[in-house]
Amino acid sequence: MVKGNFVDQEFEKEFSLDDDQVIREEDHGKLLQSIEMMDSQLRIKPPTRTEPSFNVSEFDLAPIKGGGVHLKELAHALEVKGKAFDSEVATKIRTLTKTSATLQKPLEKNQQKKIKRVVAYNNLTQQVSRWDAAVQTNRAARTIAFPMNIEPVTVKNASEVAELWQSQSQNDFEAGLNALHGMSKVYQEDTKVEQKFRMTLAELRLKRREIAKLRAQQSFEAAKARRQNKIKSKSYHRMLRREKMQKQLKEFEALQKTDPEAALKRLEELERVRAEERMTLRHKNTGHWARSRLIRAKYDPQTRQQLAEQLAVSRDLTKKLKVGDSSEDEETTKEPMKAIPGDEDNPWITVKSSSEIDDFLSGYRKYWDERNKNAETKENAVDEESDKYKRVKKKEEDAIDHSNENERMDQLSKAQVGDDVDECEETICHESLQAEEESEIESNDEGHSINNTLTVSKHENEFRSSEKIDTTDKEYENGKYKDNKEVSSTDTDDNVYTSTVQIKNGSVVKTKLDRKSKRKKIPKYEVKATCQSWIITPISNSEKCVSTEKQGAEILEAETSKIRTSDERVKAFLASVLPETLENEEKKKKKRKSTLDKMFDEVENNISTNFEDRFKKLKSHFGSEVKIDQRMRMMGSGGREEEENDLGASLAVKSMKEARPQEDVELLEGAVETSGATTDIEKLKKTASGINSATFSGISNGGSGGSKGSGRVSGNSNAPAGANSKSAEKNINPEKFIAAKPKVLLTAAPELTNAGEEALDDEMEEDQQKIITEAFADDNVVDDFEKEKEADIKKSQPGEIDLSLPGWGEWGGAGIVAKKKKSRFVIKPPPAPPRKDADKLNVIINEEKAEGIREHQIWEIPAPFRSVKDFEASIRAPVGRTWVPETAHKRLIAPTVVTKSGVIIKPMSEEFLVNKKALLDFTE
Amino acid sequence: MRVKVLCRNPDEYLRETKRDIFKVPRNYSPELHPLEGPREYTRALNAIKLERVFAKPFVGNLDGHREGVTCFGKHPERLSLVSSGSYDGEVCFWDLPSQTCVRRFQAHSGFVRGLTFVPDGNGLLSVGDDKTVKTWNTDSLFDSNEEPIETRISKTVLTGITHHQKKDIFATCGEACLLWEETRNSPIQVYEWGVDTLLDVTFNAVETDLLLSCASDRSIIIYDVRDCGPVKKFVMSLRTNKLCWNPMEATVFTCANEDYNLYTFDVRNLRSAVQVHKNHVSAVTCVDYAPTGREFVSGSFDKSIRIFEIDKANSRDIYHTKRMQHVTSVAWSLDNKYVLSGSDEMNVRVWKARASEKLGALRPREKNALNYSAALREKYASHPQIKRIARHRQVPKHIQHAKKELSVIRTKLVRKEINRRKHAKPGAEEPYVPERKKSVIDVQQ
Repeated sequence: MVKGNFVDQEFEKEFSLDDDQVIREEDHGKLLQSIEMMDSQLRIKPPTRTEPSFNVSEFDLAPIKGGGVHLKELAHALEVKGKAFDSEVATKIRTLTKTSATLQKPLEKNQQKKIKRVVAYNNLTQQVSRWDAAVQTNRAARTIAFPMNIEPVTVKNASEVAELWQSQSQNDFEAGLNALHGMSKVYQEDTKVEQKFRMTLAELRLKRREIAKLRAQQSFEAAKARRQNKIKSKSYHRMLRREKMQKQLKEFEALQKTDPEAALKRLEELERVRAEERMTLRHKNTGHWARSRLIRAKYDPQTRQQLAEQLAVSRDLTKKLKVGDSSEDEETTKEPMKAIPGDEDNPWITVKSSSEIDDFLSGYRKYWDERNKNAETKENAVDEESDKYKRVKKKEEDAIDHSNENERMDQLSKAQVGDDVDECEETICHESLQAEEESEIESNDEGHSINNTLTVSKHENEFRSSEKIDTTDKEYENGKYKDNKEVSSTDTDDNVYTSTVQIKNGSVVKTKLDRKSKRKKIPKYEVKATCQSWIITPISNSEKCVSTEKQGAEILEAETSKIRTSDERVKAFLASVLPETLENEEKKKKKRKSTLDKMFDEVENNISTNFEDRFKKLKSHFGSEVKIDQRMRMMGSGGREEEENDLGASLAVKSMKEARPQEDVELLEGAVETSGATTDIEKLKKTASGINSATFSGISNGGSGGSKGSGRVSGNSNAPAGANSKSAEKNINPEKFIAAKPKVLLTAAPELTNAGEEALDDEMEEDQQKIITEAFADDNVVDDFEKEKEADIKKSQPGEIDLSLPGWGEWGGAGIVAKKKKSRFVIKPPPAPPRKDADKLNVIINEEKAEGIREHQIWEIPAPFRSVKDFEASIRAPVGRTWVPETAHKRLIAPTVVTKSGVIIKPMSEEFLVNKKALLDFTE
Repeated sequence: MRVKVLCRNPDEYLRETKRDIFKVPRNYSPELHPLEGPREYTRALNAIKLERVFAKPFVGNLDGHREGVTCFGKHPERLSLVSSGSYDGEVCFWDLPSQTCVRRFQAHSGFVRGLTFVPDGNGLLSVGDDKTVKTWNTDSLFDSNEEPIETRISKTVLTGITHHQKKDIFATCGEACLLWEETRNSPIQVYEWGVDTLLDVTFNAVETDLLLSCASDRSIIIYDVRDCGPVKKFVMSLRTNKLCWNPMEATVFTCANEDYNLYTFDVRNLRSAVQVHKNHVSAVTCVDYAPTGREFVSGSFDKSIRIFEIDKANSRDIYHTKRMQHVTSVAWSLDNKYVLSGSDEMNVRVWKARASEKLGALRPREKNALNYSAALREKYASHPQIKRIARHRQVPKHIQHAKKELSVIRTKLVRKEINRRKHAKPGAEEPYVPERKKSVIDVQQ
């Protein structure tokens, strides 16, 4: 470029020279110079200093001919005449010249850019990598909700920090500092700006905590109020009311002193409240007046009317007024309730006829009426249940008496023959028998048993002194009679019981119970009725009709089932009765042998400890059969008498063997039969035969329809009972039964059941068995199964192939009988291989492949899984709410991505990257 | 054999009032449910079948353009508003709920090449073939006097535009990548790397200063607007038509390629793609991410749009209609519910993002049931029958044919490669190049 310029100038000059024909000396000199320069090697002019600028031509950086300026030369200027220049500068220059080197030529632009790009890219990758954690968490999240709510990060300003500090400050110095802060400009500005900012996280939390606290308190109050409202105790509410009143009174008095006008107002208000309260008619039944009316109402028709009026008023006042168009309402109300379609099989949803409902209602009403009446008449408010119990107990005692005395008679007769020791044994045996019997008969409390043993002891005393017999028995009789009196007096049904237990000549027992019962409608009472009406005539009068409706044992059982339901009440009653009897007992106990005492105690203990178990067993054994038998309404009473005695015998045996608690009754029975050699049993048998010898004529129904059926304790029964049970199970083949046992699957499914269930396994199994037997009661499942299996076997065997052609090789025509076809054309297949279930009677094993399943099966393990086991486990774990609790189900089916409709999802922002935890730590 | 059913008191399981919850006594012991697996499988089968039964993705057609649709602009604040540009230079504003065009104006002479809203939603920027960048007011929806707020004239051709997520900067592409500031009339930066035309440019939504553009010389360039501009460039086997950043993952972007595939890349490793998304049978023209960053939608020259999951090679769904021509642009709505597609035949179509999703508010029980069926589908997804039903789609014949043809071509290529390897001298075999690396030819610094 530079050179070019020169050339141009030259040409110009030459051109002008031609024009003017005048040679200027200066120009000529220049021309010569330029020609000279053309010869020399360096054509570029060395740079000359011009004004400083940013644009430095790259051509100026070329090396300069002749070395250019050197530092040393410049330094010479600093030299003062003659002297060497300043040593400091000199050293600097020296070091500089040693260390510094000339800069290298800068790279080409492309290269420069490339390097820049590489660096920038490296920076970029590093920068971008900070998102990795956030991205990974989002990707790995089981469920992720969009838009993601992230609290904006806020930074506290000076005023907030100062405030925090202020709240803690205590001493003067700090206070002074705070004041200073308040004056400071920053603080003031901040407080101005403060309004614009949102609350900080910490503040927000504080506020939230306060609100939560408030809410919690509120909820506590509400809960308390609810609890108080739920309390039904009248006395509690009375107390509460009284407390409130007192408080109000106090307040009122205080107010009277301080502000009489306000007090007046308050008084008015109180009056008003009271009037309103009265107006609500809440107290229509509960007031003193109303209650007194209620008591009188039964006898006084006027008071009854008054009461009715009062009620009518309240009804009028509280009647709902119908407002507006009633037609719609009527329509809606008239719409019949959507009845569940009746199912024949389901007794719960069979539609009840209106008559049935009416019956039920009327019965219910009657019951209530009676009950109310009773409540009125009874001044001492004797409980109905205790009543019942008394009756029951009385009957029990009667029954026991009866058997006692029967046996006692025998014993008496034998006492004259045998020696004392034998008698003793007998009595022991007898007594224990009694106790056992009683226990078997389920009077499940000790007190009762004591009662009975008491009677036994009486009899024993009779043994000791035969003169006393009459007196003691009379005593007993009297006691009994008293009891009866009590019963009759408290009885609601106006029944009159007259029971006379007379022992005359030691052979007569007479118990008479007359009953005038009107109740035949309620079957509950019928049972009672049957047991109340026993008439036992002396054995000597056996030719006459002696009718027993029911046997003591079974009656007692029926009764005790009731007693069990009202167990607590019974106990309470016993507690009241017991002291008397105990006193009596003690008097007689003095005369008794100490050994006997022990025996009794033992027996009692046994009873008390083992009673529950026995009762259960008995119930499970006989419960169902008793029901069935009652329905059947069969059997003579003669056999039953025998049974009773047998029962007694067996029980006696039991007691002899130190009363093994859990022994099977039936087994014992067998023992009785086999070990007939023992003297006691012989004696007992004798007594039994004595009873048997008496003829019992048929069954007489004591007027009550329902009582026809005579229950039976069939578990203790001998031949007839056994036959009966057999007849019930006649059509069940003992070989054909289902062995249904729950099978435990080898699943990898999560265990959702409790481990504690194992203990209940047996019971559950039994239940399951019961359910199954009940469900398949009518079906001949086993037969069906066998048929099915046969059909299956037949089907699986390959059939014969018949290749014969009809008419082939046969003559046709009249009178020709077709020959039997040869089996030549029938191809018999080889016999099928033995089936796997050939020797398993109760299974069908299907050995055929199910082709349809194949297309549903997986051939490869899908991606994230490595082993078949893992995959199977994942598939086996169910997610449906049918198999999994609701909460787990919810968790399992939660979608991976949750979005809200109509909400914009913004791209990820940098707030994700903030270490929130660190931030919180900082703020708190 | 007649089994007697055990009967219960209805009081124990019937609800007393309508609002009560049904009492369903359940015993969850697995012993009592030996067939839970098969039952659940059956439910899964039913669920997948029902899903296919209810798969009706087409929501509506936005009719109004007089030429093919070229581009979309999604309003960042309003879900109901979408703008679209067409070949004749017209821009339309659509109200999606009513499916009507609420505003239309002639924005450019020639094609509208790109539309983008300003992040606060107060302006729309458009570029066209007339080398201008125009800013439009979005407030005056019904203003008849349609004049742009601002018009910037560029020296070069413009083919695309994108706005920075936070700053007042936007970038255009054409002959070079230009960086503009909203307050200035001329570009503040000119980024050049090579001399080819850039087809598309897009800002990263997360790491906001990253910029990406694709050129007609098959290259893709990454820029960093803070520093030196272009930082990396890589060349693919065929041209990339459209680019889109993942809005939830800063490093990931997907490009719609001419070779019928889409490629998902991580900016830190450009040598190989993270995933190659196949299934299209013609050049892919456009792509857009779902706001959740888990899926994206792509439109293709094969007259169909497909939805891919980011980590899956095959598409989750394909949408097509008889009349839909080459798809030129797609957009995924910001509530993750709908997909828009603009095509050559002047229509904008609205689709559901999930074909069988029930629209509108769901009752809790309904929602629960749907969740359950979704969980079942997922659980049994690998079972052949369920897989088959889930995968089954009715596709147009031309796609079916093209698919067959492509599969033939691919098998041929594979066979050939195997053969070459088989017959090469031992030790001199061609190295095996995985599918993900095949398409990247060169990475330049």
